[in-house]
Amino acid sequence: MVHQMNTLFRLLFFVIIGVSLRFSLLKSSYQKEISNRVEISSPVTAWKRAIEGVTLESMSISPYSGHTFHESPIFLHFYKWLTTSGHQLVEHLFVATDIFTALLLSLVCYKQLNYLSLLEEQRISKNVKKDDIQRLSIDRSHITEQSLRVAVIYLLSPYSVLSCVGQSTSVFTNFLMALTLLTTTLEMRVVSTALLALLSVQSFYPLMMIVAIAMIIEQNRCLRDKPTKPSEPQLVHYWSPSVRFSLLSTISMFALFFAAFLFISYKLMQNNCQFIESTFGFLWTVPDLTPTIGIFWYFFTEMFDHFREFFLWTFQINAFIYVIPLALTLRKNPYFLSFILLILLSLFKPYPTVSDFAIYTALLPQWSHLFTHMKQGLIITCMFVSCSVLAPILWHLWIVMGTANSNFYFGVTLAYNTAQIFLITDLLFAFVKREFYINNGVKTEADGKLSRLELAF
Amino acid sequence: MDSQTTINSCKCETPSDAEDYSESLVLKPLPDGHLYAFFELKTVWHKDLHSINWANRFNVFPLSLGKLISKHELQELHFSLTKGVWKHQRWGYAIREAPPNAQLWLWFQHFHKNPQKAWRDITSELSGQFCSSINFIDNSATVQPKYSLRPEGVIDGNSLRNGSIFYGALPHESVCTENLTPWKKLLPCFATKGLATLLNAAHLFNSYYFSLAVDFRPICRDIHCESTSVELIQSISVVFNPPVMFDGKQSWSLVKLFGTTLTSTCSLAAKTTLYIDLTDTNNKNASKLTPEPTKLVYSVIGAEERKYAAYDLKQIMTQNGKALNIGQYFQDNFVYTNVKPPPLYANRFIKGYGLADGGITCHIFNNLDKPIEIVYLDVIPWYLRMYLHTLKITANSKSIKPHTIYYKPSKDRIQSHHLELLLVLPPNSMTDISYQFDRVFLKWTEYPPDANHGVYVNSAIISANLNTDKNFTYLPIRETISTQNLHFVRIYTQTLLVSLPTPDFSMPYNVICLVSTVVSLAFGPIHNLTTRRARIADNESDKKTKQSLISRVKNFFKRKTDTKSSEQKE
Repeated sequence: MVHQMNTLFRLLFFVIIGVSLRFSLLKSSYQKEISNRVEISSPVTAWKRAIEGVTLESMSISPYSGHTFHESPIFLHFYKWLTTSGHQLVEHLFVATDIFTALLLSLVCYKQLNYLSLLEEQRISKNVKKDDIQRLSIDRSHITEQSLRVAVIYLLSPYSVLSCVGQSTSVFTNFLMALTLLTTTLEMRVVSTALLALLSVQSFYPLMMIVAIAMIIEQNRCLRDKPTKPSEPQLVHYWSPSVRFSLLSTISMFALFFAAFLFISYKLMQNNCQFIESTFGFLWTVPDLTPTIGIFWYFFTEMFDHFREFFLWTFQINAFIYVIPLALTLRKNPYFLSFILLILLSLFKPYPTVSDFAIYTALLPQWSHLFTHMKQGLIITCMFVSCSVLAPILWHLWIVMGTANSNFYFGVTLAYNTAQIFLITDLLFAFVKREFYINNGVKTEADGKLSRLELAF
Repeated sequence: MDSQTTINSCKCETPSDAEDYSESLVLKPLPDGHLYAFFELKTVWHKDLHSINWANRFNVFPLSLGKLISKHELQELHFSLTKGVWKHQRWGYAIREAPPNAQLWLWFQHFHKNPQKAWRDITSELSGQFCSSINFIDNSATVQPKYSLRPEGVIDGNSLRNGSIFYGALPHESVCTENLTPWKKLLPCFATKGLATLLNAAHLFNSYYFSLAVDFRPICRDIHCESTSVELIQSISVVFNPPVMFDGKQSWSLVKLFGTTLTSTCSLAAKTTLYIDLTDTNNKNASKLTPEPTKLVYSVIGAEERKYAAYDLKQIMTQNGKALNIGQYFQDNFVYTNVKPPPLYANRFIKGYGLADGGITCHIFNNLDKPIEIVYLDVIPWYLRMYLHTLKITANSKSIKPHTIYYKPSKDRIQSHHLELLLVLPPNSMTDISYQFDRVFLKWTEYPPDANHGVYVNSAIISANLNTDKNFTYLPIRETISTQNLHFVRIYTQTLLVSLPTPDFSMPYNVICLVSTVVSLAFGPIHNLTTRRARIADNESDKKTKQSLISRVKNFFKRKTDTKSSEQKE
């Protein structure tokens, strides 16, 4: 009890720091500069464009008749309500949402780690020698600590702080994403599919998360329903009819909500379909080549016109194609699948921002049990740090000073994305290794080191 | 009065489809020492607009334009090509205002079926006709102004229809001899006779400002306006380098300005007149006109009396029959004074630094003691992404609210931003209209040839009715001058040059290769991790290969030394 109180006080302390940090920057003269950064405000998430959309809407000009505003009509009306309610409220809401996101992520971590340790306990105790259990299992006593870390990282991470200060609308999408993950973990199927549908109507790419969400719901149901039998690991049998029915119902529920939100949008825009072209069409065809930290902008700036369509298809399919093999490989751990998909989202969507980076880096402590199996942690960290430092400098040299050119900034974004890719592959390999040890027992060399693993058919 | 009699006399001669052609030239010493020359070559065809077709006999009216007008069912056509900016602040208002570089706007007759297509056709036809590149006025450079541009001629009650007006301008089009030559060919006497012989390209283009224009509109045939005629005005405005440059006096003569004397008049022209505006001529600095003018014309417009020296060139030519060099010679040196700015003028410029964003500001000055209602039209190309919520209008640093805002947002590569404001300028004020934009990053193939030079932005149009006629220059006989106290002005601001951020144009292959490599960095390992199983690495064989490699190298050297030593032994 004392321990829990202690944790709560620490959380409160960090919340206060997070809030004051955000407010002090929001009130400072840097706010405008921060909100204009391309790393923070992409063409989809820029607050400036949201305001423009609201302005046009209030002048009864459809924001979708131009090519400035690219968010869904539901969000448009939310922003309209927000801005008409007063300037103070806008800032407060941004900060409050960000703080809630941190708390939600922390809860997600807490819940998922509890489920996960439960799930793995039996498998580990079955396959692994007693001496080695310590090495592999998730330490139950540390779960609270790790959840606190998730919250602290999101509260203090410069990426989430700057996104919030720059009033990037991804603050709201991050909040919805965190809420979706939490409601999924809590098996609130209706709410979570509805939230994901809302997110998908807003920015389309979260659509791929439905696979992870359906699987998490199944896994949690399975864990809850069956009485614990020490011999049997409580993994989902995806071929059993009841599970198949349940999966189907999740997906059809999502489809239903997706259609419903589209219909609401259609009604909100006075029975006009223009918004589809301006939101989904915009994301699919990538017509705005404003630099982002993603891989799309310079590639399609420099693309030969006759190849443009081919590469558009390639890149869009590439964004989604990993879902299937990953879902198959990670079927025993859908929580990890949802985490990997978050990184993939940040990597392969056309207009990513640092807030996509912020949400998954905050969740990293949840997977700290994989860190011992990772190899490139130092390289990846160095790459992220150097990119974060170099990106603003090289942007300034290119755009303001005119002494560098676009290649410099492009180089940084390329390095950033390479680092993200290294992170994914390293995490995945670490996961595969750990699974191997869980299934086959820990194999060590003569010197006590874990033995080297390789991939083979 | 003069025009009235002309029209009446014509009516007596031929019943319906007579053609009137008249030439006039107005010369005006400007208050800052420059000299303004305005040629107006006007054809009036007493024929109803709707009955013009290609099968008509074209005598004076140019056939090529007549065909264009009848084929595309045009109501009005206004086309201008201009070099330089008209400086309202110092020169007052021009007789025919035109924005820098190319501009075209027109009204279709109200029953036109497919005006969009006709507009595209007309731009390409005129581009061929005048050797200019106005065919580059595509959809993204075209707007349909709501309030700014109104018909200038007679209209039927129902012939105004939304969507039948088109406006396009090219701010980067340059004007030169090749545009002047086809313009001259439209004249009935070409460039061989009449005032057009003065249009010597070498002199015209060596000037501060040059503008050629073609304006077509239907007008009333008589004062009752029961039937209409069509009017075609070909005009050229030139502001010559100040004559003061040479001898300190503002004296000029036709030879000095145009490099040639006047030797003939066009026999097809009913009248050929040269006017010299003497209104603003300072009494202290007396000037002498040679030869003496035929008569002095006083015209009272509004509150101000204007004084012109008129030369009836037809009469003078028939009397003398020799080359004519008209000139104005001043006694004293020209004294530079502060020029009183006109009642309404504007300046527009770019704000901000860096290549990411910026702003446009337009300062509009109202020097009158009364408020002025204006219409402000700004067409901003799509590659400057304008934010309407940043639009700020202040007059003498007090925020004012426009009466009406019409705004059409841009679409990338399809449509420009179209902003029209109905404003009331407070008396004696400077109104500041400003807004922010983002510079759009284009595809590498979309940049203009010299990408780092930047892109041009069209001038804004300010239209207003002024209840004064100070700083105006008129043709004393022009019908458009209303007898009321209101004078319509349409002024154009400067065009703007905006630099856009550019990619590295030499990089396409590299970028495609690099990005594809990074994507494959993700694809390969994820493919491996998801399709293969983990197993313990075969360390034994690994070690063996490692050892064997080292030992092989060792052995290699060993063998060599061995063989060497054995050789030595031998």
